[in-house]
Amino acid sequence: MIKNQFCARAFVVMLAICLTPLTSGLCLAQEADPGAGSEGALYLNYIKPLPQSLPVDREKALLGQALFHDTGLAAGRAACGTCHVLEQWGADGMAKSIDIRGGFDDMNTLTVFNAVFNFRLLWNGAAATPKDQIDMVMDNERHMGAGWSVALQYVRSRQDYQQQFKALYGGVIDEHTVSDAIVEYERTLITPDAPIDHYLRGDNNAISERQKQGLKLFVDYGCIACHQGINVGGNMFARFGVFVKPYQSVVPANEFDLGRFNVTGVESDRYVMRVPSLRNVEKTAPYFHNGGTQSLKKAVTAMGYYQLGRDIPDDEAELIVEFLKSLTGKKPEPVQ
Amino acid sequence: MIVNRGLFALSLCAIFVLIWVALAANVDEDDRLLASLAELRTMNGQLNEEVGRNYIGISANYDPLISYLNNLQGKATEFARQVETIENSAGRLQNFRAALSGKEQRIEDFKFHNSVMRLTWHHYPTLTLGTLQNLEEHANSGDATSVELLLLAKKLAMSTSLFVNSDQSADSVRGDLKALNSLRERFGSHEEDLNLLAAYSEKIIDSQGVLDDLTVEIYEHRLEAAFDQIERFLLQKRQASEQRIGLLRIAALLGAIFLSGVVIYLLKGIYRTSRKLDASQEQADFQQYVLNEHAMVSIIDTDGVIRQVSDRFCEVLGYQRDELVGKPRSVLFSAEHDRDAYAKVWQLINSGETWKGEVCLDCKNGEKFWSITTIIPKQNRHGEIVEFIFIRTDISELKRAEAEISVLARLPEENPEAVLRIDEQHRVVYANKPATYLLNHWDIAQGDRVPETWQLLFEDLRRTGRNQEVEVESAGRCFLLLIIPVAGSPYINIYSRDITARKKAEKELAYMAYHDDLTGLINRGAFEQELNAAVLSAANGILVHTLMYIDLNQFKIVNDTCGHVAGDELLKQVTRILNEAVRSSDIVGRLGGDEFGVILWGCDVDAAMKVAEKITAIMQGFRFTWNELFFDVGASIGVVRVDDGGSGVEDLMGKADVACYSAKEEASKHIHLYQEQASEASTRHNEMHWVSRITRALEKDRFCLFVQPIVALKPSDDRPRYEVLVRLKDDNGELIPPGAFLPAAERFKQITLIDSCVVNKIFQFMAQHTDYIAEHNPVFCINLSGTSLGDTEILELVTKNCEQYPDYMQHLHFEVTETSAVKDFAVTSSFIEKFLILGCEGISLDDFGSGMSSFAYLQQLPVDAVKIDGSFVKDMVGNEVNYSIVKSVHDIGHALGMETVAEWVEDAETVELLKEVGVDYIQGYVISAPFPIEELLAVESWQRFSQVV
Repeated sequence: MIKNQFCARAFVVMLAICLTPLTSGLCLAQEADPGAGSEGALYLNYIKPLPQSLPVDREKALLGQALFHDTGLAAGRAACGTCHVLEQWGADGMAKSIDIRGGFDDMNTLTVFNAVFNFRLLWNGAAATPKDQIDMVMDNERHMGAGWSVALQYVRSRQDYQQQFKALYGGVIDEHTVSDAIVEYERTLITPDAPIDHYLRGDNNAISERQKQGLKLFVDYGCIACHQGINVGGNMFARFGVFVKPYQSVVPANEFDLGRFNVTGVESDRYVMRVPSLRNVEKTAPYFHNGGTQSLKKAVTAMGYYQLGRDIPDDEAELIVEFLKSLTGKKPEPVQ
Repeated sequence: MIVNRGLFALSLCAIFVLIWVALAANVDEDDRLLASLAELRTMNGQLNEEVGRNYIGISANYDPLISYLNNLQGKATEFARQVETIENSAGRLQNFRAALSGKEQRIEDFKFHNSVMRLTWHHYPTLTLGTLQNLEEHANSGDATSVELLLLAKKLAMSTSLFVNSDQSADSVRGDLKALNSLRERFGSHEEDLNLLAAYSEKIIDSQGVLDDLTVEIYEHRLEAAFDQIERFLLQKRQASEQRIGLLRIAALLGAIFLSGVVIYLLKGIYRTSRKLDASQEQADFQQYVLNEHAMVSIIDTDGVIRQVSDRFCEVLGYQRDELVGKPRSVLFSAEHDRDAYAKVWQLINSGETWKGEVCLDCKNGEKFWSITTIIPKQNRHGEIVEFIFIRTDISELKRAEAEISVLARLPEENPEAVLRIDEQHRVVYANKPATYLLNHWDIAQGDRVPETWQLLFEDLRRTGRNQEVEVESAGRCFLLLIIPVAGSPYINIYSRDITARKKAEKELAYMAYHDDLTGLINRGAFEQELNAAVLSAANGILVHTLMYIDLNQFKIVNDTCGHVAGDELLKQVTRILNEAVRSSDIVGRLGGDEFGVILWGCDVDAAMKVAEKITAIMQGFRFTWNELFFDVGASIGVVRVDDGGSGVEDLMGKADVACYSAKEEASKHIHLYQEQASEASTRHNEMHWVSRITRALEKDRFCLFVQPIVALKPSDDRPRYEVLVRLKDDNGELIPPGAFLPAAERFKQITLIDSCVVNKIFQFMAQHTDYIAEHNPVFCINLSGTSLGDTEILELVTKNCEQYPDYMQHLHFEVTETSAVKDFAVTSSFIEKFLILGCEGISLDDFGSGMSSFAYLQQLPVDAVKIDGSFVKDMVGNEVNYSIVKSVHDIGHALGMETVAEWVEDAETVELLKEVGVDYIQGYVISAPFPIEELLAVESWQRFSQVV
């Protein structure tokens, strides 16, 4: 067994070392060189800047925008934009959104901004792609209520939609074409130009001294181990409570705290959540899957306690919060 | 007529269709799927590489990993959809899909555990450093628990690091964790960061284990196996398709030929009926065309002369038409058939019968052309044979395939490794020549049954359908047998591989892992395993073993003065000595550096002590020679009993270490037997205890200075000289002599602090009593330990004091022990030079004669005086040996131009004797016992001491 471990480690290390020159060369070629003297370049291995825009079929996005905000899809009671309020950074500021029956939803609503960069969606990762997520919402009687059949009936009844679908999808109006248009629109909902992105691209003055200190703490404490990649998170699953188990002592767990277990039924997936993206985190309070806190600083110290086993002192937590503010980008403009 | 034409057209269409079918059928689809599969493999490889990059931290971002996985899944789903349409693919696809989702699951888990390792292990060094620093502060402030906690924490950090960086097992980390936690529980310990260290260590061993398993699984995952399975499936299918297509082509061609016959027949009919018509020429042309284009047709008249040949016929055989037409049929005869056969066939067809058979023709270039030939005698309306039509079908391919198959059938025969086949009754139905070794091994011949134990194995494998690898040793070589039950048949195939070389390499590797390169002895790890075996065997109380821990006394000097090559050579020689000194059944290991361990198997302590004495005796007599330099090496041995006392390996090693340490201090024998109830453990514990007491004493200023006068025997120097001694005042105000705390201080590196304290105090004393200093002009002799000599702290301290009180240095004299001076000669001599530059009164060598130094060495040290070791002086009256030692030390000192001082002088008789010898100074109770330095002020005159002499 021990030998096995050793061999595996040696093997993997050897392999990776052999391949590094080749692949790192490729990576460098893809990423624009931020130039000598760039401080941000140090962090490019962890965080990649957002692109200024994604290639989008403008006509489809325009159609998707209309559908996104059209309450007709849920028999006049709600639209996607009801919970994903663009003015509120793609979420609704509630711990849990109010569903169409007037009750509270199961979990906190995540922002739609930059969602296209996530590897899965929803807290428990139940949706593999944005299209899956639309399907799930449409078929949920508490969210969009009526289901696809009613929504499609409505879209087909509208003359303006008919014309647009005719031009773009050969007149086919079904769940594939409707969600395709909405997903195309979601590709415009990204928030480039965050100070951190400029910093990563080589502008050393894009973030303040305190934010730089915060970034260093963010890396040194190990937050970066999970919150990395282009979305500073959103690309892996992690157990809530690496060091301290939050649901067995203080707070009684409810079924939604089980997270991914509710999707897979695998025992080791209990309390496992998709790590959320931290982009625009300053603007998308409250935090955690249950919307447990309004304070970003509390969220930082809680993460330190449960995930890192560390008590982050007040002044350091404040610096990290400062850094997190540098992740706030530019709100997307409506498609014209 | 119309019917005939219709039939004719239909036949032609059919011919075209058949030929089209023959040409169109292909295996492109299979090839495309196989290419997709190869692409999937590449993508899987890329994914694995990315996993590897994340594993060792080259990449710290999972985005690329996700896109590799997504690409693989996308491609794989599309691939599966294509394969799905193939018959019988369901089971294989099920495996394939399961492997795919398994891989995804593992990569998910990998990401999480990898992140946990990143957030723990990557921050572990800083965390450890911080924690250890805090502990060290506590420890220095005199907290005895913290000292122990510090040791355990260091051990934990080390074993965790070893666990991650090498192949050390997690158990040792768990052991250290347990030890640390139990100590903390016992003392109700306070350190918050120790919690963190423990939690991180635990998390690291947990996650690293899982991570390693996951990584191995991702690399060796079922996906490749699923790829292999599908590939085999596709290849089979491709082969089957090829066969089918081959058959289809032959069938199509045969059909085409048959239809050609029909066409010819019809043509004949048409020709016949339309003879009167002008169109007859057209028909003939058409006939010619069809013949030429599509069939290998030749026509021979009844005289055996070739009348017509088709283009295709010429083309295949490589002849020009006019080379054949008009020639006798015998030009086409081949040596493959004898003339009789040709004659027989000729006879048969001349009787009007149709003949069909395989015929070989010689091509013009000499190649053989095989065909199925049908010979149709053509009769006119009177029933007379007018000519013979030969229609041939190419079967050269078939013939070639037959030949190939017969070559293939010889394949196992030609295999250089053994191949065997066993049937249902366990008989060897086939064995190639290399398999003879296995038959010999089994002592059977081909056709016999294999031995019974093997029958059971085969039975089992046949039942489960499992493959099995078995290693067999025969005639000094080692073979790996791969035993494979052939699916769908009762046979078992055995393939053997010669793995002698690999086995040998494995053995060598195993040897290297457990042995020390230099000496060839087993290394510490292996030694501890042996010791563990000894502990276990002693557990029932019948067997008793003994553990010896051997440390070389002068190894460091050899290493430092002559270099590592000499050190290595010394170790080798000592190894030889040890191996000769113990029985071959005893276990000798190198524990590291110059430490050796011996397990005397079945030896009780009495016997073991004899062995130890033997070894020390040999070592005492052993003189290591290197480049004309000689070294008396010597060894110290700690002896521990290994019995059913419940001591574990670690415990025993610790005790042996302590015993060895004690042995070093036993000047005469250099052997120490560990006594359970005796003071060993408590000595160590006491020393620990002293560490905190010393720290506290330094803080609370509990050290005080005593002085003892040194008096000149000859009236040369009348400056009063005092040796400065340090005493510790305990909480009750009682004085503790230095013998109680100095060894502990020396061991735990606190001696420098005490030395600094003494230097500070003496400067203070002089600053406070300038009148006394000015009046009496005394000299204070201060002891400096060997540790302090290597420490610039003391030098800085003295320099600083000198700057403040530049005149005081002339009142100071430093005493350095001989052993510490020799230990690091270069450092000592540079130190002494600096003190002399600072203007100190002089330097003397303390305890001279107790070490075994080379005098030539001392010649180079700029010292003014030597102090003769008191233990010789004390009983020199009436002890001849001691007297002559004192005398010779004195003589040597003088010869080297140094003054001599005798200490521990306790009576007048000794004083007389020392005068006789010619010693320059004396010190001891005969003059005065040490007294507090403050009392100096009360001593009216130095005369009080000097008049004793």
